[in-house]
Amino acid sequence: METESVKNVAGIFKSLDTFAILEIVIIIAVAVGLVWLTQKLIPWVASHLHGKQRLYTLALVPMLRILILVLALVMIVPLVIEPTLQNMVAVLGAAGLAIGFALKDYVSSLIAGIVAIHEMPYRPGDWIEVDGSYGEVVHIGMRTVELVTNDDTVIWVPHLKLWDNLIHNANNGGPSLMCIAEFYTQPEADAYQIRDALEEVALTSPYLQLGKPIAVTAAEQPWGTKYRLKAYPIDPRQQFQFVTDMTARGKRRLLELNVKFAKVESGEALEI
Amino acid sequence: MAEAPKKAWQWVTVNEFERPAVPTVITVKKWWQNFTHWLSPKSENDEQDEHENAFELKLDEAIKELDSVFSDWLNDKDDNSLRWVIAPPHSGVAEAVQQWAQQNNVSTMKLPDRDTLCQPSDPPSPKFTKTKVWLMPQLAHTFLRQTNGLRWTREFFAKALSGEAGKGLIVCDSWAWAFLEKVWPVPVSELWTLQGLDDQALEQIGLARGEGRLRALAALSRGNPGIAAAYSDRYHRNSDKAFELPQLPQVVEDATAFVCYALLVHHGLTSSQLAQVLPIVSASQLQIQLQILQQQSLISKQDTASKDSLWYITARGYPVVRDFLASRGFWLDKF
Repeated sequence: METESVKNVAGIFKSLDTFAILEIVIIIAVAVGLVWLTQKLIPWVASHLHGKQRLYTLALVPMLRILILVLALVMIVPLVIEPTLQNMVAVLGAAGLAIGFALKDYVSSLIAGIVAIHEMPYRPGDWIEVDGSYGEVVHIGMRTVELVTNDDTVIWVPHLKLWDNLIHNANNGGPSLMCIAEFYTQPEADAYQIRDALEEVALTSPYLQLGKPIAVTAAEQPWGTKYRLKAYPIDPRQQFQFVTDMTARGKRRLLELNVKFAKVESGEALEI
Repeated sequence: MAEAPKKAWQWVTVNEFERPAVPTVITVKKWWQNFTHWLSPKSENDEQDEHENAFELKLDEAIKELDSVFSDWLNDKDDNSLRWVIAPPHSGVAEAVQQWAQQNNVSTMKLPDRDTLCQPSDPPSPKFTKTKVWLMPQLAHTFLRQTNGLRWTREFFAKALSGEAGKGLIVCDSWAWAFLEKVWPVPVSELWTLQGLDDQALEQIGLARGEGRLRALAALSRGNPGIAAAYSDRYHRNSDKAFELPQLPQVVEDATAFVCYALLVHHGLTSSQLAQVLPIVSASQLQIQLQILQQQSLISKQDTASKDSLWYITARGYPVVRDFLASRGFWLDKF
C-alpha cells in the first residue's frame, strides 16, 4: 500500500534527464539574469530622469520582475511535472501544507507583494508612511518594500503589512506632494497680514510647483496661533529643502512684520 | 490668382502663435544625441567652435509690421486700452517694440532699481505719464522673486489694469509672463507676440537653405528668430552636420536648475540679485554654478551701468536650458 502511494507521488514528477536539468538551469539563470538586469538598469535610467518620467520608469521594475518570474515558472513546471489536473491538485495540496505550517508569513508577504503590484498602494518613487516610518520607496522586492528615510536610513517593510496596516502615501504615484511649514505666533498677531506674507513666501520659493495652489490655514492653540503654509514642490524629493526654505524665509518675513512668535516654557511644554 | 507670399515677420495674438512642427526624424536624432551624450559626455571645451559668426537680425520689417498692427490703436485718442507684447528670450521682440515706440514718440517708463526692491521699507511706486502713451520696456526687470520683491509689479498691475494708468504698451519676457500670470492671475486681452518663424520664414530672412536644414533650424529654435540666428549656418548651406549645442555640465544639481530658471524669469540678474533671489543656495555655491554654466557657454554676462555684470542665458544655450528645465518639471513659458 505504502509502496503504491510512493509510486503515485513519484509518478507526478517526470524523470529528469540531463537535457531537462540543463534546460531548467538555463531558464532559471536567464530569469535571474533578466531580473537582475531590470533591477539595475531601470533604476539607473530613472536616476537620470525627474518628475513623472522618473516615477513611471521606476514603476516598471516590480512589474517586469513578476512577469519574468511567472514566465520562467510556466516554462519550468511542464518540464518537472506532468501538468494534469490530478497532479496539480496533489502538488498544490502538498505545497499548501508546507506553507501553512512553516512558511505562512513568508508566503503571505509574497502574495501581498503581488497584490501590491496590482493595487499599487505604493510604487517606487512614492513617499509612504507605514507603522510610523516615513520614507521614499526605492525598491519593491518579492517579500519586502525598501524605504529610505530623510536621514538616509534604509527600512525594509514586509508586504505583509499591507493586509492590516494603514499605508499613508503622500504622492500616490505622481509628482505632487503637499508640504506643510508650520509657524506659531502669539495670538494678538494680525492673521490676514500673516496669511498674505506666508503666501508670498511660498510663491517666491524656487522649489515651488507654480501650477499647484498655495494655502494658509490658522488654528488657535493654548499657547497662541498655529499657521500651516501648504504648497507643492516641483519634485517630491525636494520636500524637506522646500519646507526648510519656507520656514527660514517665513520666519524672516514675520520678524520684519514685528510678529512675535509663541514660546512655551519648558514645564508647560511638557504638560502640553 | 496667385496667393501672396507669407510674410516672415507677423505680429499675432498669443493664442494665434504657432510653433513650427518638429519632424519625427529630428525628435529621434535629439533622443539619440542625448543618449550618446549620456554615455560619453564630451569634455567641457569641445563646444567652443566657430559659431561666433552670429547672424545679426534686421528688425526693420518687424517694426514696419508692428506699425500696421498698432498704429490705429496708437492714433485713436478715445482708445485708452493697453497692449501687451510677450517677448521670448533673444527673439528681438523687445528691441523691435522699443524702436517702434521711439519712432512714434511713446515715452518710456523708468524701471525701478531692482537692488532696492526687497528692502522692507515701501518701494517706489510706478509712475505713469497719464497724458501720453507710455511704454513699459521690460516688465521682467521690475521684480525679484523674493518676499517683498513683487510689490512694485503688483502695484503696476493694479494701476494699469484698473485703467488708472492710462494708455500704455507693456513688453514682458515670456518666462517672466508665465510667472507673473500666477502673481496677478487676471486674464488680459490684447496679448501680442511675434509669430513663430517656420522654415519658409527662415529662408526669407536668409538664415539657412535646404528644406531639411530649414526645418531642423525652425524646430530647434521653436520659431524664435534670435535663437535661429545664433545657430544660423548660412555659410554652410545645405549642411547635413548636426547643430552643435552646448552641453549641460556633467553634474547638475537643484542649484543648477534654480540659477538657470531665475536668470530666465528675471531676464538676467546680477550676482547680488541672484543671491537675493536664491537665499537657499549658498553664495559660494552660486558662484560655482555661474562659473560652471559659463564654461559650458550656457550663460554669459554683460556689463551694466553698475559695477555688477548682468548674467543671462545665451541664445545658443537657450534650447538646452529650456529642455533641461522641462525635464525637471519647471513651469515653462508658452513659446
